[in-house]
Amino acid sequence: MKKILLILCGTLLISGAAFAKLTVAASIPDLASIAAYIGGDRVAVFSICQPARDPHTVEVLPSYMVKVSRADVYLKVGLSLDQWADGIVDGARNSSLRVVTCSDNVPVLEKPDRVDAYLAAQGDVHPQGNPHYWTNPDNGVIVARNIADGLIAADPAGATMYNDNLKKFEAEETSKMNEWKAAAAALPFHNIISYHSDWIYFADAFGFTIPAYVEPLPGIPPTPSHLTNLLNIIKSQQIKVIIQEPFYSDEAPNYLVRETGVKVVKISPSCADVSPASYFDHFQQIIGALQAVGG
Amino acid sequence: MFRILDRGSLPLLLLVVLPFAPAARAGVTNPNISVIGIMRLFTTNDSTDINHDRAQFSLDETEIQADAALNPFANGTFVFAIADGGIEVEEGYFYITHGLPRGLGFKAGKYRVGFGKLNPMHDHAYPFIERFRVLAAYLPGDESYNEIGGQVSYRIPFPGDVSSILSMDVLQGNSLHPDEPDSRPAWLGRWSNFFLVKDPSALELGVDVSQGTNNVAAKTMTTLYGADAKLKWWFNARDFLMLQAEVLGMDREDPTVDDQGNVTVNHMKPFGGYIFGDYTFRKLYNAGLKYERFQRPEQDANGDKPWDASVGAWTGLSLLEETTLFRLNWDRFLPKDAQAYNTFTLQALWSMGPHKAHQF
Repeated sequence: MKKILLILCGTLLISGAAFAKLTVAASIPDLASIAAYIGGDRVAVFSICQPARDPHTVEVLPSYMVKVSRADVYLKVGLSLDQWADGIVDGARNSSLRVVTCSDNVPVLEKPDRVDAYLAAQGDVHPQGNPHYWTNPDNGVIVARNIADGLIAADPAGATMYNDNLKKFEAEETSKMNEWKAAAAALPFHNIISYHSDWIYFADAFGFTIPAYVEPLPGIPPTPSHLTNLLNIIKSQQIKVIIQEPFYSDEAPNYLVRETGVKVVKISPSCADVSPASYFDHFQQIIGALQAVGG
Repeated sequence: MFRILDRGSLPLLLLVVLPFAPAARAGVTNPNISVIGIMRLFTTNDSTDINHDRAQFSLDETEIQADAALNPFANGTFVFAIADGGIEVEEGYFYITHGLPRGLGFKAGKYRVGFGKLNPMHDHAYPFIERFRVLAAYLPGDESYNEIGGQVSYRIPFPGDVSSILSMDVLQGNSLHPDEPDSRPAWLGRWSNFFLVKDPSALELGVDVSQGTNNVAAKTMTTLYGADAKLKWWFNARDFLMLQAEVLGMDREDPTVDDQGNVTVNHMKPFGGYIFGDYTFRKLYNAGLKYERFQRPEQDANGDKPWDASVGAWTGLSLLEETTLFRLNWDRFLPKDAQAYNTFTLQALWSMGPHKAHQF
């Protein structure tokens, strides 16, 4: 009887350990989605910033600290986009939390030439470069590698699975990129305007040019003179579409639509949820929306 | 506050300190440094103001804030306030971020005590200009309840997203008996509970009690009680409404000594509170209303504690968060036994340095 009880307890302990998923917190849904892909059923993921919210200005809420206090890994965007994450991580009081900065090894665009006392004169410029790198799927592969390394460090027993899923992610990205690039190349336009400078990596990946932003400078609302300038650019360069993030005001884009007939594609730079497919589905959604404008 | 030097001594201080500063090592970076300047243009018909009914300018306290990670386990913050020709350490503390058992927090140094929701905040972070008179009347200290001490806090492990934190501070206590040099520790206990109503809309409820010696010779105490509530409701990514209220009570032992040296202790027990609402829209603008009503912590000729009140309204424009901010504020003070008066204020605030994360 004692033997049976011992075996039962041992089995329960082992099965308990096998089902102890790694809890992974991420600043934005895209990192969480990639982590869900790499981690498979060994991880449970969540994102602090929701897709329709501006990732620049997430509040440091005690409830976020509570969530992260139970996490094993935290995935940061880095490049000063999610400085609020430091407050949440510090407030989580979780000494065993492993923080992964997903921007490591990413080729950064728009690095300021000079980071000095007058950087703020250029608007709300990120001193380490443009941080919206995940909007290029090729950078998503680099992020996936960083995440895989972080998951392996936190859960060495899952290394084989994480590496296998990483290879699947890389293969799927390569295949899908060929499709998306072909679809983007087939569009009748390649100049777009975006509200804020968070689509430059997407533009770089898919052959678009962004000649202007609705914001005259990052973080500065459009002025009447800038809107007049935008009207001229839209007309002279026959811009067909403005990509607008859902957390910015509709006022200026609606004005540009009325004056020029330009179409607005309202879409978040972040994917819709933290499911494993969401990161890639998001690019399909963006390309599909641009195709709908292109006719 | 802890005054260290007058303005003329600052260059000398730097000359003395800098040569001894440790040489920068690879990977060691300078702290984040922010500077905040505030000025006001105001007019009041308060007849006790020598310049009443005239436009007056005021350069309020300039703040220099430095913060950095000290090591993998702790962060540190200093806030220097420059005003009235002097520089003072308004806050200087460190807090442990890693290494303590899960849920525990520790902080020590000089800091604005965490009694209620407004006292720990610096005035420039309020959506309005002046702190409530009830806080000035009940909390010790000239500008805030500010003490040297240490705090231990513990996050109670509730299920879900509820953050419930118990904290206990042991403080030097000198602000409760500023005229006596003796040291008699004071203490503060706080229980705050934070609920995500609909991410990111949230509600926070807190209760506080603080006690310290107000007269060392007579061994009399002041006890403060408070309860606070704050609701922040987001309508979309850019617009939110903030509602906040506090009620405070005090039990102050007032000693009187007769000719024989016998001490009689009377209890002064006023209470009062405030409420305000502030609506921020388009990320740029905000507008709000406030009301407070409180008993003065003193008795009138009839032995009653007079009720004072104030109302106010404000509107603000914030360019790129707090880098440049303008506020227009109206305040009407309604004292019980004196003439009511209005104050109109235009405030400009500017800050340089890295953006700080937004706290709730």
